[in-house]
Amino acid sequence: MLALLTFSSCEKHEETYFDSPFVSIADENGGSGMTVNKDGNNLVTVVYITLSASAEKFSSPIDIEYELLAGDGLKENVDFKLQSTTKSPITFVPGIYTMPIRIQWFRNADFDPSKDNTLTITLSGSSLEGMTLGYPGPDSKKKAYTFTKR
Amino acid sequence: MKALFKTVLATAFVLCISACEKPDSQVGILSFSVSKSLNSVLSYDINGVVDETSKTINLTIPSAAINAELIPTFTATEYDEVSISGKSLSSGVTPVVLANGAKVNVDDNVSELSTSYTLVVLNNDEMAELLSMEFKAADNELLYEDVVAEKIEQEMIVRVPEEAFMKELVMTVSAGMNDAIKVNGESVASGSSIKVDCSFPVDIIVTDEVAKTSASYVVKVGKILGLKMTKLGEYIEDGCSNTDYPTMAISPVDGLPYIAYSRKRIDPKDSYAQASVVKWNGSSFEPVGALGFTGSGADKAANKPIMAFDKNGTPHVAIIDAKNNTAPAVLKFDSGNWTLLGDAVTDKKVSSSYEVELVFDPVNNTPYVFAQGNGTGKTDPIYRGMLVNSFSGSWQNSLMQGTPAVNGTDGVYARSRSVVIGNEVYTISAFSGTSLGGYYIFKLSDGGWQLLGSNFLGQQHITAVSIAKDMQDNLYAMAAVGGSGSYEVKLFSVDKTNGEMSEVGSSVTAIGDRTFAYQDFAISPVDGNVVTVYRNVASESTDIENNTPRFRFIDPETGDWTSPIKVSDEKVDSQIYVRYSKDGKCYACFLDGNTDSIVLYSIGYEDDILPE
Repeated sequence: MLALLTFSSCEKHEETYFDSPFVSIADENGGSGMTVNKDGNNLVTVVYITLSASAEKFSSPIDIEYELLAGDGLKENVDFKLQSTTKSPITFVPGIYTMPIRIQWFRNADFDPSKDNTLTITLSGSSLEGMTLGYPGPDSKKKAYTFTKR
Repeated sequence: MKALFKTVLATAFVLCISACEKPDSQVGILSFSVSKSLNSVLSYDINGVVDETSKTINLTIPSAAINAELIPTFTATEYDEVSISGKSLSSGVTPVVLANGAKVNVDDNVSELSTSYTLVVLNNDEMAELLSMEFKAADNELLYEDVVAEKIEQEMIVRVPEEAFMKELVMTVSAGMNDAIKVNGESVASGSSIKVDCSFPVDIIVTDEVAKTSASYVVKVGKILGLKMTKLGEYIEDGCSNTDYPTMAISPVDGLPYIAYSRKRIDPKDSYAQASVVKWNGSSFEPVGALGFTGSGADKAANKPIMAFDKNGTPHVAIIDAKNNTAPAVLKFDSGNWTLLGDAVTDKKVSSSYEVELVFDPVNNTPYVFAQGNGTGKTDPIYRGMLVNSFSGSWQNSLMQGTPAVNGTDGVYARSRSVVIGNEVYTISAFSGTSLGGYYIFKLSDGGWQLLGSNFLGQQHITAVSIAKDMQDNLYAMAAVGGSGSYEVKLFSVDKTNGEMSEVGSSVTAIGDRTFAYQDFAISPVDGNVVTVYRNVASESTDIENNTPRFRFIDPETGDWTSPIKVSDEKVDSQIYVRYSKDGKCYACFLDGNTDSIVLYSIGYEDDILPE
């Protein structure tokens, strides 16, 4: 009886690992935004999309979609240009966990500081089912990146 | 009875079993693989491809396992026995070397059927690896030569001429065994080409399709950088005036520019100019020993100091010492003090119209001082000749071997510049005169001087000569050549066997009879850049551009000089010195006649612009 009581409390401990894939966006310093000098011309900036997924889940290519939203003060191909080879969706092949998105900035003589001069990249989808956009958690950190031209 | 019953039972059993083994009329391998779970040497499963037409089994095995015994897992048709090279196999049990070309035999145990397959084993390196990346001139009309990444690494920077900068170019890539390449997301076969927009960095991803590993690279295409001059500082010794004759040499010990110059103290007054030496320490001019170390007060002048270093890197200054019969003297900087080399000056009077030249034998450190001889005057054999003073325990002097015998104003020695190449010294000397005047090339080897050859006799302009070597120890000189009042300053390659000077590139600048051709050039020991700084000669002497400094360098794209770049509004009022340190830092020094100050510039690459 004593043996039964003793051993009944010794359940086999199973390791459980955090295996919820997620994808985030940040610059090389880990930041979620940067200011771009309005007087800079042909200035190229880069942000990175980074996957976090186990090898088991990342055994075939994953496509990540994002949206690019410019404020009313910025115009594509006038104030900025997206490197076409980094447009949405971005395909990650197994083994590659970080991919760039590049924006080239131009000086615009008609720049109006009173307008909304932000450009926001927001992660919007993943071909991997169950992948969280941004860091896990209620705040969805690192789901979006904002450039502010000023 | 019991025994009979057992026999009947056994026989019935055998008959029953034999009746169940019906021939399936098939023999063959259905699947063949090597799994990592049974073979620790593998990091991934190997799935073989069975080809019934060619009767092959294709496997790609990583290099580390190519000769190892591996346990294959296979299925075959019913009742088949499988063997490789005579070794019978049990699936998932028997280890065997899967050698390329080995036979996999399959025998049906029930029927007479048998077949065999040949193993086709391919090696895989398991690495996703970019092997090469280049922009070929043959594919890109904006390039004059192939642009190749020096080293394949995660981030690579290559440079193209300005006209190709930020343009679309055709890139050629290759990768390793079984690797697939994507350039900016587009698939490119190894060894093939693709057009890329170089206004952005170019992304390359290589995937090993067998091992399922990947590697990423980024290529940034920048511009081949030009050179620019940047002023470091200007200098006048405190309490002094009449700054003159700055001469510069780079210390082989600390890599810093040392400048010898003459000046007069204002209070207490120097009657004559004396010499000082300062060095640029990276942020300011710093005295090297006592300033005005050659004398003070009523002491006669120390004329035209020449800065040099011996083979041990000890600073030396040669002067024309008016205190001592206007004979050359050499002082060395030792333990914080300037002292006379050999505690004596040379004994022959020389002309103070031309600076001396000081150079050290790289083998035995013997100093040589070249000067225009004067001696006792016109009847002296050394008069206006190229006098060579040397010190080995005591000062000796003689006329340089091979120099012309002076005939009045013909064959008169003016000035020299020297460069050390290995264990030898090469010197270019300018002589004036209509027949014997010209540029003479001398060589010091094994302790002896010899004339290699003379050039441009009667076409010389004696106000400035320069000499330097390149990274391959080829010899070059710069001098003005012409006549009838018009001369062109040019760069020449010099044949080290016969001293022959051959033109390189177009003219640097044009000068006239009466103008001083202040110019110098230097060649980087690091990247081979050739630079020159010279004094601009405007057609009108009152032109504000007259006497201002100019800078040019050899454009690697064209092999000729870039257009002249105006350095400043300063007035070049002395010989110009341009020198490279061993680690590729370049300095230029001259006297600014507007302020009577010594100015020092650095010459380096323009600011870089890269996409991102």
